[in-house]
Amino acid sequence: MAEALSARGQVSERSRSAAYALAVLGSGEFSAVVADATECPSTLQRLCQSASAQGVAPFLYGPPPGESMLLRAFRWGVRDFFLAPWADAGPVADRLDGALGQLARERASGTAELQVALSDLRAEHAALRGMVQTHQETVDESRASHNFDLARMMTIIGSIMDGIVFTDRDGRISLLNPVAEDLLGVKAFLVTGKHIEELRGQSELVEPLLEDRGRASEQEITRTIEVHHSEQDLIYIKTVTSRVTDYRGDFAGVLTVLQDVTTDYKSDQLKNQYLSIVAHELRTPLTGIKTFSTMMAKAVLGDLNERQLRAVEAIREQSLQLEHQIDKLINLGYLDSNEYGRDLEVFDVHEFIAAAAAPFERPSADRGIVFEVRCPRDLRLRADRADLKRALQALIENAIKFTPERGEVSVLAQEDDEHVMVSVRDAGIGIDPRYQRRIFEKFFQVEDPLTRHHGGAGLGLFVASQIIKAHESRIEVRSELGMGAEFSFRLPTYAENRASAVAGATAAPAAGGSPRE
Amino acid sequence: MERTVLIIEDEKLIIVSTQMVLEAAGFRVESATNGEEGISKARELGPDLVLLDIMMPGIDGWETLTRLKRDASTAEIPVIIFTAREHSRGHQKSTEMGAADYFRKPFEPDELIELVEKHIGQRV
Repeated sequence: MAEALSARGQVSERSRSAAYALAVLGSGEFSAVVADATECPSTLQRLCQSASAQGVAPFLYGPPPGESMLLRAFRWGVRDFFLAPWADAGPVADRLDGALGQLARERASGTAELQVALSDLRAEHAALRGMVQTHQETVDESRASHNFDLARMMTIIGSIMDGIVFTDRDGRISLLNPVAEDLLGVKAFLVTGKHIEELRGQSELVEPLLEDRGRASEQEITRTIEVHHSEQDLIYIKTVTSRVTDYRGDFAGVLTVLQDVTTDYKSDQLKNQYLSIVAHELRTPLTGIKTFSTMMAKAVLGDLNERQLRAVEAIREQSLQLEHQIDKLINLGYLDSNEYGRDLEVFDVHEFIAAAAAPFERPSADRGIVFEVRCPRDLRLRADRADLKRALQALIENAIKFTPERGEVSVLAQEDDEHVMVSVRDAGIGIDPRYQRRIFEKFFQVEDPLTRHHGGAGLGLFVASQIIKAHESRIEVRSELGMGAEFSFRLPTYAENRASAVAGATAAPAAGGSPRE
Repeated sequence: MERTVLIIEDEKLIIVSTQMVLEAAGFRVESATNGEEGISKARELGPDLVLLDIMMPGIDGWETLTRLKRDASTAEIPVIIFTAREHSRGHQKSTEMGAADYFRKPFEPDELIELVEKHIGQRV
């Protein structure tokens, strides 16, 4: 049984069933409906939910309800549960009245809250609109300035003298400035967005670029490429290729800077050519002096008296000095050369050591230094003889320089496990352990008043280490302060049978050359 | 049998001093002061060995070497290049071009004799 009730506790209508109440709910004249909780639950559910939906407050009455019943009721929107029996309507009407009053208040405050919320929302909306507007203006402004920056940057990139090629992660060209266009012989607007591989065959630069692109890492790769240019005969392009990462540190692409170094290259060639001519001009007369004085000292041209012999020997020694100085002068021109250790030949180690040590015999004797050279016979090396001589002479010169008067310097070569081990030992001031690596750096000099006193450009050991490195070996140093120093290097012994396969076109001299005494 | 060495070299001083060294060691020495003359003397005399300078007026040592090796009558004569200049990979270049050896000036007289002894008569 359901009863529809008006406000103020007055029962305005009684219906016989919940189904009837459901039917009359929509009339709009009720503010509450009170239903018998023992009625069919599904009808009750429909009644309560429908009432709530239409703004009619649903109430239930009946025997004390179980917990699940109460839960269900409140889920349907029931405002209150009155305990049966439904005999005395007075207190029920009061409670109903109270509940309805509260409902009305709730609704009113709800509306007010809603209105406040709505106006807040409107304000917020307006504020947001304003912000969006401002933001849009900022975006427009920054886009304009960005475009301006971009244009300015492109102008700069376009006007720098070096070529710039940028390929993205996938190898597609995303930037190519006019200098690069010219050097590569392509047009940026035609190739931008294309994979760099598509440029194969367009220029001799593409292949090396692709190669470097594949190898590019944190370290930049530098090389010089010879290119047949359409308008000039030959140009030399230095390329510097490096990996580019974005602000997150992720791989973004590869940047290559192309620099036309033809002028530098040609002036370098001229310098080398000049040095070569100077060498020729100085060595030619020296050859005569050296040969004649040697022949005379050996009495091949007739006997000399003692004073004549001393004079001739002095001439010969001076010519050896001069030869060494010329070598050093020429070597300065080949400092940055990558050509170290490339002109391989097979030679006798005994002869080689003797020739390299010869210019130092006189200067060491003059300072009372015992200069010892020891090398077994029939040892051979396949190496760049001229370079190796430079390296060994730098070590000997260094040893003598740092050995006090009446000290000892020895040059030793010996065979050790199919290697020739060459060592230069001195009894000089020794090398502080903290400098033992650094002494091979270019222009490095141990900062010591003694050293400055000894002079030199700081190039000897640098060149020597570069040369030995080019022979796939390294110079070892053993030294203690005040205890002298030993520099040594090892190179594989040349063996005839092994070499014939390796040496190929290089003339391997037949055995039986008479060793020099 | 007397063994003949032909020196092709534009510097008179080098010719004289080298000649002195080789003659003292028992070789007969002929000389030419340029490439063209050297080639015709090599054909004419058929020396047992040629000592060849690189930097000469007219055709240089490399060109002279090429022509000597191209001509059947001189191709087998061992040629030793001797030079006072710095040549990039000179030793390799000379052996690739068919020279028997490569030698730098100024030289030790004994080394020169030794080198000539080693290659002379070894027809290539």
